[in-house]
Amino acid sequence: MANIAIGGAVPRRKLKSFVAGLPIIPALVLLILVACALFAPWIAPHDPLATDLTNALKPPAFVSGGVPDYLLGTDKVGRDILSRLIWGSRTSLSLALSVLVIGGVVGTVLGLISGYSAGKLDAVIQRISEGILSIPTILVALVFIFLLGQGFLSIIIVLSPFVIARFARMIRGEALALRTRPFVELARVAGASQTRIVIRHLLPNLVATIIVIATLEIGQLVLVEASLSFLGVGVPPPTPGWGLMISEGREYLTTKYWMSIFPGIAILATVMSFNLLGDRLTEVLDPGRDAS
Amino acid sequence: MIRYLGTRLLQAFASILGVATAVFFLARMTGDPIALLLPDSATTEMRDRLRAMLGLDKPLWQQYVDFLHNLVTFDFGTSLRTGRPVAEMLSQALPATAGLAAVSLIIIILFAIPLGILGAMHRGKLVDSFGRLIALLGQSLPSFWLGIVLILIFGVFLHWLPVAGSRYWTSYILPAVTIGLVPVAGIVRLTRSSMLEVMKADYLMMAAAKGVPRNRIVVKHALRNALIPVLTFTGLTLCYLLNGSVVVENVFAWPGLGRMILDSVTFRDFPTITGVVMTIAFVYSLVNFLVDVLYGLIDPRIRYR
Repeated sequence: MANIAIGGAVPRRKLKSFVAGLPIIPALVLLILVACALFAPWIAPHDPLATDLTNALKPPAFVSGGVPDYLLGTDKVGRDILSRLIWGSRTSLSLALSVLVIGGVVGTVLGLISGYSAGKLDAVIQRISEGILSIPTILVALVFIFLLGQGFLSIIIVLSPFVIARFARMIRGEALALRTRPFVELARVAGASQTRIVIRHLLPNLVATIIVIATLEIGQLVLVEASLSFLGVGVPPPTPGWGLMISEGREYLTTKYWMSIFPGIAILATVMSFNLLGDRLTEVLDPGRDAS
Repeated sequence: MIRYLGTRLLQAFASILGVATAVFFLARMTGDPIALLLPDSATTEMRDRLRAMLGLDKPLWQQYVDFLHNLVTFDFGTSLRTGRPVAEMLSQALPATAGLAAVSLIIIILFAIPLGILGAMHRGKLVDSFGRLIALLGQSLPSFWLGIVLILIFGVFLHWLPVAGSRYWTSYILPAVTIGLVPVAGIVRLTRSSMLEVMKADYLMMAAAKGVPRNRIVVKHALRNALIPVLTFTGLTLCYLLNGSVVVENVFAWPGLGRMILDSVTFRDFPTITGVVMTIAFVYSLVNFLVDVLYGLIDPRIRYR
């Protein structure tokens, strides 16, 4: 029976080489980001919603006319840009993670059902997933949020199906390949129930794939949420959100560029780090060719 | 081939009908349009009259049939925001978006495909690193922010290019580059990996063994096969460009479909939203259909599946 257990999660050797080859800068960026999101109230020098009209539209401290108290300057009602950026990481990450958890769990379950049953149900799940993935995200999100009303819940409801579909398709491909592997067949011969096979034998072998998809998806989610917020249908003001901050800075673009530039750098650094990490994970964990 | 085309055409038609049905029922589900159109102080009589005028007093199936009939005749009604017929607004916005997409596509093809090929031929060299950097940036840059940065650099600081509207031919440059970066990233990656894959094939080794010069191998043998997946992706790129237009048109005040839908969403202008969504669904299905046809022509295996 020991053979059956060998189909464990990520082999230790791979894990070691992964840690050794971890891209330092992206990992560091993400670490800072998570720290900001978790400890925003303690890290941020100011209340992100506190207005200070006497100090409105101040440039960053290192530019002439800047105030040392506001390191990255202030916006049109005198809110501290740095504090809003730090709190913005919480907005971005919590939204992206919520969508990812819902999409990941539902998508993985559907993918497993689809790949393991491989019958009519499989065809239905896969056609629907394909359909969803061919839809232009932002456009559809725009219309749906218009119908549902703006807010955090709407963003989660609208974006989840895209993540579910992505997981369902990729997990299905992997599950299909695993089905015919000897350890799964052995378990079946040994009399393990279907549920047991799926949970004990398929799922642990899919952990690598799930991690890779999650890393690549979360970056895209941050990007889409920022785009929606920029368009005015994402997080509602005055929530500190990066996309929203860029949008708020637009009317002052020619003279007060910092209002739009800094949040953009935050988005770029975050998404790029997730992408680099995801690429690296794909190389190391190699979850099959579909992952590209 | 005819059967293949027939199936694809049917699929395209089914998806358009699906979108129309979804739009119709979602609109009815999410609230009474009358309540949206009239102020709270309106009398019951006024509500009833408007309801009759808009045909909302008929049974649901009748409304649905009317709705489909109007779509087929391109009658989307009148915009609540501008008071103009939606069809007329669409006839102006669609060419603006299509023009931008066309310029983008040209930039993408002239830039991304050569970059991918060069990257594959000179793996690990400077040109390859550059291609990979572009691909990474395209995946990670928020396009609306890129647009703003480009406006700042080329419009505000350097005064080289116009930053809003579509009046001059130079107006196309910044929005087309902005909207094109994401597909460029995909195509550089795809061309590169596809080239690398094809270069491993036996017939290329054979050609090399025969003493065919390397450049000739690349152009005559490898490129043709490597470009098949790229071609499919280019078709999908057109669809992506439609999606990206919502964001980019808003940044550059471009008078196209993307801006039209955003304006109508903020105004809750339902006829216009329906019109834009249906137009985009139609263009989308058409492009996908054409890509499938092209794919079937290039790769005979597809036709007989």
